[in-house]
Amino acid sequence: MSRSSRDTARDHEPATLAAYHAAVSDHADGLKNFAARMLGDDLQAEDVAQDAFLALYRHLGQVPSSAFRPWLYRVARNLCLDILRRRKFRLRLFRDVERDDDRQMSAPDPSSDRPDQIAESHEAHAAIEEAIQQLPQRFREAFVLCELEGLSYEDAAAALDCPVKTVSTRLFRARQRFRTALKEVVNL
Amino acid sequence: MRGDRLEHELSLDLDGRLSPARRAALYETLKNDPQARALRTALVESRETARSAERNRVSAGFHESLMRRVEAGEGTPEASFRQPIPWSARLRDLGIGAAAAALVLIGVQALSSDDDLDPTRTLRQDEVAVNAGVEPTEGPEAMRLDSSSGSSLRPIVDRSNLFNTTLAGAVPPNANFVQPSPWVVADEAQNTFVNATDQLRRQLLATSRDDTDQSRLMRRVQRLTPSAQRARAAAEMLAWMSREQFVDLPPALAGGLEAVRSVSIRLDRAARSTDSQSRRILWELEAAREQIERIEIETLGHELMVRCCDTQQAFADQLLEQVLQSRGPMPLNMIHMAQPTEMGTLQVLQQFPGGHEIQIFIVRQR
Repeated sequence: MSRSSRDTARDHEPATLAAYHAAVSDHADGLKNFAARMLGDDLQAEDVAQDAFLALYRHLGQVPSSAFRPWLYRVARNLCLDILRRRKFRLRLFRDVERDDDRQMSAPDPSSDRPDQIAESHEAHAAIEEAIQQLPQRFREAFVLCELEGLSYEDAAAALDCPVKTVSTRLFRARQRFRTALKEVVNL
Repeated sequence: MRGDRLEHELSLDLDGRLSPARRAALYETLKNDPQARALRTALVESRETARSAERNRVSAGFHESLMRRVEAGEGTPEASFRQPIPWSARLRDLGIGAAAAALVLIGVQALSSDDDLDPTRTLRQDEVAVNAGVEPTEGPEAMRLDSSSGSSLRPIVDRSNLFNTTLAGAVPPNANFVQPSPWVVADEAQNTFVNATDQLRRQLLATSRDDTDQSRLMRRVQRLTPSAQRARAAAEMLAWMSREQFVDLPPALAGGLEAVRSVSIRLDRAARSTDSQSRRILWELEAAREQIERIEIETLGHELMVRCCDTQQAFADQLLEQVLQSRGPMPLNMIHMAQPTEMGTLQVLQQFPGGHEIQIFIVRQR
């Protein structure tokens, strides 16, 4: 270890460390959510979130606390892309058995075909997840970051390493496809 | 304002991103166009629906575990910033893709036999047998797994010429061919899973917690890999059969699949660690050890309920579809599974271009 974490920790200002711990509390769930939707795997998603925070810790002196959030999402995205690339030519193990069991859709109830009503049921959650998973990766990233995690277009653009206008276009396309996918899934 | 442009403007407005002038124009359209208003309502409802999705939460010990890793001096993950894919890897991937496109034979290793392989044994013509029969099963109700049921579903037809011309070199010479039925496949997959998991558990629990020597750690991880791969391959098959409702997994077995999956991810990660990450390897091994310790091996062998499908062919067809489906990574991944051929091998045979015959066989060692 050329420079131990203990040394690094001593170097950090208390305020910076406090901001770091606050970021862990505030963004851990969001990062895991984002990674889970990128990877479709909760276990790996939690590891990605943790690795992103580890990376932030190493770069605490270089990243202003105001930029923690997009920085973390950018690192998490890169970690996810790396995992997806490795996974491409590797055995895809089993998808989550329980989750797949949950996906067994019951026949749609005609009295509950409005999205807000559907959302009350367990099947609806599975349907929403499936509709999100059906989005192409580029659209899904923008959708999860802006629509679900509430990042601004600017922060999402920083996380996705693309212009703000691209984020708005991808988000619009993602919303379009999500609506269609949700209808298809619900009508299965 | 119509179509995509209208929808894009509505999307921007939903996020408060429109300038006052564009917003005014949009609202003018909304005032006069009921279809635009309906589209806006649909957009808002769809957003609410998306936001009602369940949120993942990190586990209770996330923060503590993170700080432990910080304290242990773990470095920045190698993949924090995306590395370009090397040309050698691209060429290799291209090769795999081309091979898949032109495949005559796909070997899918998924089923286990603990028999010793002796590739030097030569095959007598009468030892090569292919089950070409398709027998209806006994109805849609669930049936108890009977490991002997496979043999009763095996009318033997000599297709040694097929073996000699098409499969030669691709399968061990001392093999016979069995039309896969859910019973046979589930039975073999479960047996493999139990045996391999048991072996992996014993190996993992026997590893020393104190040794921090990098090269010894790596050797230890490498020794664990074959058992982990066997357990994973068998678990893959069981999980697929469960998803397709060919089997009902007892809760202990379903939990075992998850645990083994988690262990194998840990071991993969340990195997990929670099020279300076012996702490990381130790950490992953410890986590894997904790996870596998919780598995009660004896509960994994609980009887599976195998559901009947209409015919054996229905099962074989679905298996084939899974292997050859055009979208998703499964075909290549399944090919990848063929590499360790310690177990019985599931073979998919395609004959091009004349007959377009596609068949699946379980190839068992004798």
